Amino acid sequence: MKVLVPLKRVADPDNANKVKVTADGKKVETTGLEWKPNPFDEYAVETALRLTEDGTKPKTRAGEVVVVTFGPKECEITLRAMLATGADRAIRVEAEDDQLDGWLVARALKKLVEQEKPDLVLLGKQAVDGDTNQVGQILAELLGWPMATSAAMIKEDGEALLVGREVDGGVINLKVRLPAVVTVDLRIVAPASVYSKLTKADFKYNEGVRFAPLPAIMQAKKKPMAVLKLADLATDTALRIQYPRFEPPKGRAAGKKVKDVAELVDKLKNEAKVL
Amino acid sequence: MTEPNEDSGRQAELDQVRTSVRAICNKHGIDYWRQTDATHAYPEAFMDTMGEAGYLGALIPGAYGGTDAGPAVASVVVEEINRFGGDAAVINAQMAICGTLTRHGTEAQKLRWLPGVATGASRFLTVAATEPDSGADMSKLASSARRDGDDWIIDARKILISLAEYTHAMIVLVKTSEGPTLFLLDMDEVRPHLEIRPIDLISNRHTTTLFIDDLRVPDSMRLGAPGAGLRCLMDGFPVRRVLAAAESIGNARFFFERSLDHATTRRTFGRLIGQNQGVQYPIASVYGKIEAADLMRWDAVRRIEKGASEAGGRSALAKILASEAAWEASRVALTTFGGWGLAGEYHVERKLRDATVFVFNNMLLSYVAERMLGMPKAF
Ligand SMILES: Cc1cc2nc3c(=O)[nH]c(=O)nc-3n(C[C@H](O)[C@H](O)[C@H](O)COP(=O)(O)OP(=O)(O)OC[C@H]3O[C@@H](n4cnc5c(N)ncnc54)[C@H](O)[C@@H]3O)c2cc1C
Repeated sequence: MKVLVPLKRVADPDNANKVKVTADGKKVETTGLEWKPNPFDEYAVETALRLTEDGTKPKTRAGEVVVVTFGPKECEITLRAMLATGADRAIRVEAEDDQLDGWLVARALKKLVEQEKPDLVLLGKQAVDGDTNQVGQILAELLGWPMATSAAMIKEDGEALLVGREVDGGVINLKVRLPAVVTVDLRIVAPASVYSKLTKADFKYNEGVRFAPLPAIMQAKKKPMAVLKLADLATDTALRIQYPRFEPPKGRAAGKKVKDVAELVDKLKNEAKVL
Repeated sequence: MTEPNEDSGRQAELDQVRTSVRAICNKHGIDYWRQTDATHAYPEAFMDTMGEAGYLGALIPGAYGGTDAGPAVASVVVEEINRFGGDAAVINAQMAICGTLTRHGTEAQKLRWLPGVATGASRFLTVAATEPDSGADMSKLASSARRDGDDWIIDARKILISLAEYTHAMIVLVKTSEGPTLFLLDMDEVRPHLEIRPIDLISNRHTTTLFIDDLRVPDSMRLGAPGAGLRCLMDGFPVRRVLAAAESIGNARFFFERSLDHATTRRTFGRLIGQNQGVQYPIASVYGKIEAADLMRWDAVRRIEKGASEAGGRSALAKILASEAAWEASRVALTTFGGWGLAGEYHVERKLRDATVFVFNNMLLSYVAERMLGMPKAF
């Protein structure tokens, strides 16, 4: 199986308080931010690796995992990290962060999918910076491919995938024909969430995404990294989404200490009005 | 963490090593280290994971099964382990001590040991040099080896020897008629002739006294030329100093990051303790010292990589600055944590004990004074 995984770098979500807005409110200040791969995209890469291997032999890839990102040269650091964990090659589409929106990225990806012809496009369910939750859905629509979103379980089943989606009150099981677009949720990296047709049903992965061993980090430097121009993938690069103004969230007021349970109940009832 | 002036390919590689080592540390958790410290245990499970992940051969050439990743990578590995709250002593030893063998061993010796060291199948953790009477003065050795036919007979008394109970391969420094000479012992073969006794030390360093009586070894166990023992050890010192500096920077960052966090969350007298100048200024001040030591560390790394002659002096300065920054940072952490700094559950007291191991700098200061400043020889 050939899997294409689009991924995005985001400002380190563990240091969200470092994100600042420029004085005019027009942009998010990106200098000095520490970048991390979007966590859901890391889960998508892990899923792609699990789908292209026998879990007991993670060094041998059955198929190909291609990672792609849109962004400036520094984004190659994020791509190299994915090559080190096991992806086969990387594509960077040259662009600045504020030249992109979900609509443009999805259209450019459609063109790239036509060139790369993957069997599966795996994405994170959303990026934790903009939280727009769009690209996978728009891409599936543009391609006219079957789609499953927020997958928590994937099993390879002949020319199709069995996908479990966690929803309120249970799990929806879908069967999607390949080629398809699937977006993944947090639980996809649990030990028994993803099975390729090579991995035995009783195999358990380690929880979470795999870490890169040192030899793979050294070899990642030699794996192919292609650079494409955004204009080669999308003729109309005008943005549909405009951000007129950014504001940091208001600081939260300090909590209050209560003397006893009676006061707590009183405050919940009469001040917070939640009881 | 951004290494100063690294190109993006190299930066990517070092970032990935940090991420990867952090993931391994998280897998075992910080209480793992509290446990190994409390029980004086060898960190076997951690070393197994590091072996599986290919880290033990970071300084071993590809031809002998290593990754040849170089001192920059090895230094990031030990830094991240200590910064996490672990103790990088054992992996530092496994990565670096075999350097003497790589540089001076015979092909047969290298093939015998290095591939196993790279995977972790063989532990190569120990150099036995220090002696009860001469201490830091390695030129006045009482331990000896004398020729007997084609063999050598070794008699040695060594003190403060780390990890001798756990290692499979050990380098021992003795005098011969030609001068200081190294032997590379296979512990499985020679253990019956050794007497090893633990020395109870401030931190979990597995230090021992080691007696070797009348041990007959073939000449094939000699490492490097007879008489060249000190030189063979010393040409590995720049890398070992950089790793000691990086371990100290990791310790320093552990104290600094924990202190910063505590100072900006803990409230007493109605305000954050970090608002008090007595807490805040020491944190700001030691931050500067850690960053300065780190710049010197990267400068030393680059000079080692270029084979520049100043690597010796710069690596000595890096080790001195980093160990002092870590020592000061441990005091800052005590000021910031107050009584909790001494409680096991905050890990400060344990790391404080770990950090003491690096503060002996007289030999290095003497090296700097003599080699870099042209002052009269102190040692
Ligand atoms: C945790 C730990 C692990 C160790 N592991 C090993 C090991 O694995 N293998 C090994 O061979 N050794 C090991 N050592 C020994 C270490 O290398 C020695 O402690 C060191 O060489 C000094 O020897 P000494 O302790 O006998 O001090 P001494 O030589 O007695 O010196 C005492 C003090 O006086 C200072 N001093 C001595 N002479 C001078 C001078 N001329 N000018 C200025 N100051 C001077 C010294 O710097 C030192 O501070 C270890 C030590 C420790 C603490």
